[in-house]
Amino acid sequence: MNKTILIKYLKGEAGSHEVEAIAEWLDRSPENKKYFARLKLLWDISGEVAEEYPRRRQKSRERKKFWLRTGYFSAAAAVAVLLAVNIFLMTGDRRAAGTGQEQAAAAMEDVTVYTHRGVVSKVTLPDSSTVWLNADTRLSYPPVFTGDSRRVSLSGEAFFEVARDTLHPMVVSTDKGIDIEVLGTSFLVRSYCDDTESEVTLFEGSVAYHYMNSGEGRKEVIRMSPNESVVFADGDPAPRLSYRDDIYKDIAWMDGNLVFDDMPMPEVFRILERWYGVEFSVVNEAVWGYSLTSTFYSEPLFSVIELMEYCMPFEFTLENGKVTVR
Amino acid sequence: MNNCDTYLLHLSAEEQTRQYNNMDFDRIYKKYSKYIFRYSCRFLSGKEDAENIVHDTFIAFMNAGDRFDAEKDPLPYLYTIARNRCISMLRRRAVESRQDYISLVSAEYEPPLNISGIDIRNMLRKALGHMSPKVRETFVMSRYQGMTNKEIAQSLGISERGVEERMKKAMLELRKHFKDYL
Repeated sequence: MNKTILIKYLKGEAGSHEVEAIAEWLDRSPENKKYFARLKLLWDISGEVAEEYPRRRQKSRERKKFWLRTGYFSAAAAVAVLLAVNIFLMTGDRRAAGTGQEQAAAAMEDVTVYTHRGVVSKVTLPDSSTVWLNADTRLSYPPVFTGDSRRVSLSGEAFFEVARDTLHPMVVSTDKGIDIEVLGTSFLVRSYCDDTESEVTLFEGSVAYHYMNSGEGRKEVIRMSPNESVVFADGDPAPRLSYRDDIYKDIAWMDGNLVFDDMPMPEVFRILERWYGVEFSVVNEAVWGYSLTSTFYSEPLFSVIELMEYCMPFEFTLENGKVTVR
Repeated sequence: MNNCDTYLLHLSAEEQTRQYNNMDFDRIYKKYSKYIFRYSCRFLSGKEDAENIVHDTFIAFMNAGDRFDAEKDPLPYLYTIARNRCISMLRRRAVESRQDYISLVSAEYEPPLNISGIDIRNMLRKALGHMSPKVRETFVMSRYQGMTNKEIAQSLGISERGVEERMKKAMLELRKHFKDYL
């Protein structure tokens, strides 16, 4: 039995002859049955990240059922689930207990992780939360979380998947003075010093966004729900909350993909500079008026430049880590 | 210690286990029915069938509820009930329908999955990251963008056979990454 036919079946594209052939093959031995069941499980599991990929086509096909996209496997955020008879629970508290350890931990310095331009990295925090760092980002955290909350600080862009702990909320502090209080959830923080705004986008769970309202002169808080994003532009007194249904393109970078959706060229260049670690030197200022819509799947810089040359009436020359735009 | 604490110390272990009440069932249904629905859809092709499974699952759960500690997570148990219900339904239909027979096999022979929801996505991203860009691109087009092999072949300017080979490589990469959890 060839794997191609099985994959075709899993996609819902197998014809009746092929279905019959698969059924007969399964009948022959329990090994075949186990093999197929495992293949199907892997296929179904892979649907968990379906929303992270922009859909190129809007076809409404009977076979493409909505349920193929995420949900089933992510049910219990921090609890492992078995599909058979045994039940397996993962618990664990890695927090330091007792004053002796707490004192020792306080004496230790924060751990700081940097990613330079052109680097994406993944970090596991002491509580087993996971943080993906985009290029040119700095994250600091204590070697052990002690006290009432889990405090980390961030400058740059990172996607957090925070381990659930309702007794000890995580607080992410950004260099622009925002504190994001988290219980157990996944969210994206973009706060680069050289951007003119910062953005926090919630994917799952709930967070409390604390900021200083410079108009009112007091600290305020916004409670966020999934699919909401809060943008705070430099110089504004307060941030703006909006609902978005296209949030997954913001984390395409975690898979090494770049998604531009009608993005103005100044921002495109800034993102490319961070991503590839190059410098853009603009000679022809007319380029600032253009914008780019495109997705790049783990592609090298010259592919990106080729495409830009194709869509826009400019010449891009890459030499010694510098791109000149004429 | 106040009077409350002293009283609690004297409760037996059985009495300390809180039992489910109607509000609990309501909350559990609201929270978990969508997961049971999506799970059932993995094996049953009709939306109505999946809805019936969800219904049967929660009824069975409520009937057995007094055996359970309301503080524990009911989800694993709900999945077990749902799985058994799916298998029963498929067994009846497998006689007539080869498609349902195949679904039955996949439900019965599925290995247990020792990994949490968060880790699954981490591992998936890792697996996708390890695929070569061409393999990943093909897999993404096929799995997430709903393109047929023919469409992908045309779009990428390769043969359908080339697409098939890449898909096999993609599934192999997934298998490599999840083999310790299956």
